[in-house]
Amino acid sequence: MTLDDLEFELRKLPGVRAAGFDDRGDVLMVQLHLAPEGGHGEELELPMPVAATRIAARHSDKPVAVEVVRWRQAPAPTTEPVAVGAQATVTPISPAIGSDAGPAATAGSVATIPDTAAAEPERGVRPRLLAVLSFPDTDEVEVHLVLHGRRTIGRAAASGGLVAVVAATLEAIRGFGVELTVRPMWARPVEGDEPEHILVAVGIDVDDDDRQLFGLSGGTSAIDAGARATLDALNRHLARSVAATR
Amino acid sequence: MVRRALGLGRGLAALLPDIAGSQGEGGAGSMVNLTGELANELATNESGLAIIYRALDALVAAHDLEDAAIVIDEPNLGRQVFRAGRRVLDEDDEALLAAPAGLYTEPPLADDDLDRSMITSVCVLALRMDVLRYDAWHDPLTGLDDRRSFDRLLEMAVARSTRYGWSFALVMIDVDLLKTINDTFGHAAGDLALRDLSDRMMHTLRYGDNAARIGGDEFAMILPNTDADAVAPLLERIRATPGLRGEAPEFSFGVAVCPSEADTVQTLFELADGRLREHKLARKAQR
Repeated sequence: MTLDDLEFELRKLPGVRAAGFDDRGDVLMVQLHLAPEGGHGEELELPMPVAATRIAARHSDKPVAVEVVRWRQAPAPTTEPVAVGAQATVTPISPAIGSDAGPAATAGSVATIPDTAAAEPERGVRPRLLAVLSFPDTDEVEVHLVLHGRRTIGRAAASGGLVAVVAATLEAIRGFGVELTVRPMWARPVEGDEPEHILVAVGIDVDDDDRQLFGLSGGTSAIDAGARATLDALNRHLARSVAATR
Repeated sequence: MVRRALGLGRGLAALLPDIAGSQGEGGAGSMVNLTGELANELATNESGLAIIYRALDALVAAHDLEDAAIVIDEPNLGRQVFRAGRRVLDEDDEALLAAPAGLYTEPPLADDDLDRSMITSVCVLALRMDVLRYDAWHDPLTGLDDRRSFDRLLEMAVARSTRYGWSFALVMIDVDLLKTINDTFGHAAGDLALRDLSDRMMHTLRYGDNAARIGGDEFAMILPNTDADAVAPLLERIRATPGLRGEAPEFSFGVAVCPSEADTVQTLFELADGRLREHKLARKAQR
């Protein structure tokens, strides 16, 4: 199977208009752009990232991170440069792929681009979560973030559990040049009514002012929810820190 | 950036395709060569997408462009945007998603060369060729390989196996009581059961494994380097993996290993099919 086969099958998913690839050696990054008007894949029986990830897993012999960009506002050409919100909320997934592969050898994410006006106050401040990858063979967990078009990866020992996901997320954030004087305290799943909806809560210690930050987020896997909860905990703290670095 | 080629800042009228068929550095002669090569590739290349990207990359190289992209309206896929180098779109390029069909370059090229329509037509045909090829080799309901595709894959697998001694398992699967599901709950429910099982297969199989729908309720898998003993655990993983509905449909299966048990397509198929029927009868007797 070839990259052409993979790309073609991805483009067959309803609403997909463009696909881009970035081979990073250890991970193949795939970005899908969905039609701005209708055809967003709602007719799929599986969520778009799940469907795309399953296709990617069949066509690639290396881990694949799929990002689905779903534009709420049609970026129709105008006489002025197109302005779209750089801020995005991300819902990554990390399903296990392969009959003999470890869990989360492939991951995907979906990015939702909000309307420009709504996003303006904190535009560009928050990193987007692109993917959370787990590599059982090497006992590593990777958190991929993107901010202003720049990608960073944070790593930690996967055997550290959810706290390791928090640590990897913090390392990825520091990759943007943000000085964070925080450290992970705890992270644990929260039981909900629906077993398929995974919630994770995290606690983060702020070194310099003896405060604690807490975050809660859902996700399609525990590691996914853990990374998102970390970003949730750091929201305001991060906005100030990023602003200070710019 | 392609954004400028889109005419942003120049008004919608400027959005008409800026095809790269201009009096560029290579001149009209090089464009004739390019389109000739593309037409030749269209006749011989296995991949339409490869032709499209080759066209874009060649345009970038021939005219020393910063970027090139083509927007194609394909009835079966909807609008499709391709960017040179198979690169991701950045925020400045998002306008391409809503741009009229055509070829865009950065910087924009003059619009006075007939090769514009030639290159665009080649790319449209290339994409359409991929659509037709895909439809010819895949089952429309499940998206798995179809019988024709499976027969070809099995022939190649047997040839490799007998020549080099590479072992593989052929697994035949038959969904239990599909007719009952259809008669009781309607054909939509039966279709869902088939798609559910195929989706679980896609999710579970390794890179390099093949799964096909070879009949109404029959599936087959070609699993390289897989012993017969490893098949039952794999099928359990297929059952257990999340699908489109709550529980996986029940199925019977038969396995034959090449080349140790059979070394021709016919004998391998018959062996696996015979074991499938035995298993199906045994399950029927248990019900």
